[in-house]
Amino acid sequence: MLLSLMKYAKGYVYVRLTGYAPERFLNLCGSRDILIWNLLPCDDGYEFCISVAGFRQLKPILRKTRTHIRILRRVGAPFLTFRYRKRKLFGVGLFFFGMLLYYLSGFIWNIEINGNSYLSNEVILDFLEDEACTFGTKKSDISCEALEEALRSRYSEVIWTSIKIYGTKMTVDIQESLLPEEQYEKQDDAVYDIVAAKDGVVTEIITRSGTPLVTAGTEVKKGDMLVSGCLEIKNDAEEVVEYLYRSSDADIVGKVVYPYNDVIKKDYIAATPTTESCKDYTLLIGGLTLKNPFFHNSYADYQVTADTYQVHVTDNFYLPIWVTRYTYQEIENQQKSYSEKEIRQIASKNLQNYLQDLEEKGIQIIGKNVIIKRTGKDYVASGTIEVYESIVSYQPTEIQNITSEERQNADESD
Amino acid sequence: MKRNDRNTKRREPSLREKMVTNLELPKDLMLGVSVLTVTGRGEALISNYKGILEYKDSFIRVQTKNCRIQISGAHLVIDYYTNEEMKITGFIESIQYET
Repeated sequence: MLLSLMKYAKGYVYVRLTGYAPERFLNLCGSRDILIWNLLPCDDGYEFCISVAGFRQLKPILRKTRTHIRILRRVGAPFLTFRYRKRKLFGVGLFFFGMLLYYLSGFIWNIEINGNSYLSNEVILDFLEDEACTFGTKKSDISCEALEEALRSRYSEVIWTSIKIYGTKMTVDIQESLLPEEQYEKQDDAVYDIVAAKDGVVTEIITRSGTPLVTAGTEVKKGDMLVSGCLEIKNDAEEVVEYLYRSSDADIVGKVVYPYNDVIKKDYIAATPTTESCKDYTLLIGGLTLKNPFFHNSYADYQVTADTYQVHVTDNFYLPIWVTRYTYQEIENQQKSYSEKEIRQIASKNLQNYLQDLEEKGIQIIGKNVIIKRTGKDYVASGTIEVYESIVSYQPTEIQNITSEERQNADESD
Repeated sequence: MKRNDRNTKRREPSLREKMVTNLELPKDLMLGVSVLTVTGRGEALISNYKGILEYKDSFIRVQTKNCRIQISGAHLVIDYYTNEEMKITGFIESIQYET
């Protein structure tokens, strides 16, 4: 590959050799270190490629061997430049192209992010944008060390980072700490009570800190205090001496009843897609929308699906250009009505989905009582679902005015 | 008898050959013998030769110091040809040594 490129740059000729002793000619070329390649025999001699420099040395050999040479084709850069020697602006353009390429190679055009799992690529890219080190930034304006420092101090999850620039590509390597910071730690500075998140009956209560105000079996309304963060310290006379505040922490499970209501209409419009469909493309550049002026949608009833694709040069370098493909699918609307059996199937399927959603939230279902009734033209599935679920919800504790100091002062004044 | 004689004589290596063998010197340099490297069926590299005797599409005859090598086949092309070595590509059917 490299060799053929060099041959092209230096220029070579494809020639036909005929005459008395062509073999001797070849051997003489060999002994004088003239390179010959792609040697092929033809009817009355040989055809081969020879460099321009080699071709100039051939004259004595030709005379010696009584052979004749004819140039069949000239290949290479020297012949090309000679042929286009008058096209001066082309040369100028080529020069400017080279300069532009050199100039643009001083910018970042590709960013690769490795090793992130909690932080998404978008978060890192946004960070780089905030630090003015995003796509199109001059390489000389970027200090990798400062950027690493900023990334580490901005995100505590990042325990190690290395930012390198090779060519026009910036590589951000990140090592994240294995454990995310615990959520509840941020509640440390404030004191919280636990109140009921829903109406229900407490079935289980395990208090780790705080004063429990309910026991298993207590019926609670939404907003009722379950565990207080306020701890009363009493003296021997059963008087409150002091209030201590500590965030409450407890697992409280309650029996909660969910109402369920689902209306299924008997009559419906069925949209069946026909075989007819057509596509339209829209281009969005910056804030400018370019629509296809020749597109015309001839369907009476149709469904439109839009797929939007943002143009990107590398994996991460998204340009402000969006291409949207609209697929118009012709449909036929038909008035239909469900049979009783179908309605029952739909109702039970909806209920199953609803229960599944609840279970995915970690709610334990203990009973369901849903009946399907016909009301006029429609069917209604209604009833209740009994579940066990955590009814913990936090609320800041009201701080009582008596503090230990005040109490003490009062005692002293007595 | 005479022929037998000649054969035994030919098998006897010369002093120069003995020296080269015992001193483990490269034979292509010291004795000027040609080296033929054949890769698969489509490529042959000959070095240490004297010249081309004949070259057709179907065979190439090359003169070396001690013998002639004929490479027969089809669509034989000399990829390059210098004083030191020559590369032949094409479909090789046989390689013969002629004395």
